Amino acid sequence: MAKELLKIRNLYASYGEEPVLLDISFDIPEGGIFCIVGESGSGKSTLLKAVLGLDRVLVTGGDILYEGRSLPGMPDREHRKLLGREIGLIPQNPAGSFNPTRRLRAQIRETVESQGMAYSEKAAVEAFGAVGLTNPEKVLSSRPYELSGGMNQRIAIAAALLPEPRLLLCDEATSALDVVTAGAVVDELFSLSRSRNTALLMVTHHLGIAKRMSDRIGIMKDGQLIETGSTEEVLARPREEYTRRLLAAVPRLS
Amino acid sequence: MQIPMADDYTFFRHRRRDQYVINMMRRILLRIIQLIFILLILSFLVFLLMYLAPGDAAEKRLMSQGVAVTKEMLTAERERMGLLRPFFVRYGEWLFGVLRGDFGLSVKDDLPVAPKLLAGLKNTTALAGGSLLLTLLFAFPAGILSAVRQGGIPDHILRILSFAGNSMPNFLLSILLMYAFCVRIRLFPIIAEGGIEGLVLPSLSLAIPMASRFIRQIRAEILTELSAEYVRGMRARGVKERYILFGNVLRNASGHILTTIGLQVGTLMGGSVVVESIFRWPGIGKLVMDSITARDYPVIMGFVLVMGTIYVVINLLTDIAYRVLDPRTSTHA
Repeated sequence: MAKELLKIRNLYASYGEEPVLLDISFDIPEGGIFCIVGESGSGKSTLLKAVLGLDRVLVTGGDILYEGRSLPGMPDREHRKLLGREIGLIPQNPAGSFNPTRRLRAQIRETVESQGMAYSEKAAVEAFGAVGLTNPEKVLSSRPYELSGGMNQRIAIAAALLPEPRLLLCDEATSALDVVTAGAVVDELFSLSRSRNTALLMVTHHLGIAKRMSDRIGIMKDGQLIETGSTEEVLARPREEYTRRLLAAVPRLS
Repeated sequence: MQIPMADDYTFFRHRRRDQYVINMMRRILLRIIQLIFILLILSFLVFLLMYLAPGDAAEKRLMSQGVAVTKEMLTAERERMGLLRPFFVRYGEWLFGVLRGDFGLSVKDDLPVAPKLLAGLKNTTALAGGSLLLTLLFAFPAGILSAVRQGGIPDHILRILSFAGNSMPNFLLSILLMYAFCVRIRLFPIIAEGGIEGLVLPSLSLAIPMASRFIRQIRAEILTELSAEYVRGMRARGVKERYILFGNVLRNASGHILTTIGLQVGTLMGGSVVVESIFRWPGIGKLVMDSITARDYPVIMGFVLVMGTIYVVINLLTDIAYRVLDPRTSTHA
């Protein structure tokens, strides 16, 4: 078994007064892929926010350990330093994650240079090509509002991958894409994860995606992980009634 | 597996760069045409108002020469000043003169109006420039600081200062500054016509209230922009706060701030009358105040027209700058 990269131990968290996460525990080893499946409002995104530490998610109990270091326990400044190079995010609304008024070249440059790396046009073009963007030079010269939702999603994926994070959080990473492209992007993420040994923590309401790529999955309902296990096991022999209902409701992704 | 390519056709949902420039040019041209109409209407209104205003320039003029005014003298003077001809003829003549840079003669002393306006304008521009410079030098760092350290000690101190500065009327501030720097500490002369040292106190009197307003606005704009979704996205990508603030937040906020600056410049050019009078700064505000008391209509008309033009042109420039800073406003022409 590979070394554990992210350990979540009996995590309780709340958003304002309202408790959102109740007793969440799971581990992700280096290069492992963990998928959390649940309905909207089940607390999936809050979990990612707690790991990122950017929003006002209050950890009220338990711990989040990244390489053995407690994320909620460390000063903000230190936590922020982990973002990008160690922990990356593919956000739910990719178009919104870029400044709408500036050209993408400048924004990608800032992303790369913030990690202490040198910006190279060639690397950026390659990264854009790798996520299926035609004409990467032109994309680099345009502004986010000039591009479609699907293109923005690919750009967000490329931007998250450029600093080569060791843990990549995906918040409904394929929600803006059509089914065929979504499948392809999922495959691409999967092969990247394997080739670079990047761990993925994916959050989705789409069991098909989970089935296609994850090693382990967790089913989330009302802030609790009601069922966790290897993907095969959970999908073949779901213990919970809720999981069975979710499975029955999924349109098949071939 | 090969990832399907996003087809080139849906690539740029909006226009290409050359189209963007053409749109921009078209808008500017349209605005210039609008501007000409606005100024025409303004000139007509100014002339009409002065025509309807009570008081008789001829009488005023004769009285100022200290002679006993008879009816015959009055008629002759009116005739000489061209006051007896029809309204539209007089308006037309005045307008054509203005277009050639001839604003007529001052009623007070028979000197041409244009050089008077020009001299006043020069001094007022220096004053406006000085106070704007002081304002920006202070308000930008202060506004940024209080936004970034929202709720911190500097934020509270600046809040109180800007509240005080904002509620203090110009004339009071002028007198206080004068008392402090001319009477108690004799740093500046009370009256320094022209000259850099005479510019400092009036500039400060204008800059302090203006900077107080700007700090609040810059702070608010930056806070709004900091809560935008892209800031969160950039932080999640690990982009340094320095890049986020100076390269993106400030840049996006500058459009709105620039609009306010543009409006302020207009106000400064016309609205520094009180401060100019107190410090006896020979600007256009003082010129127009003197002209109003003397019923020197040609100067007043010239003033209104020049100010109107400045205001409209600054507005146009602000608009263009805004579009360049936020290209989204140009694509939906």
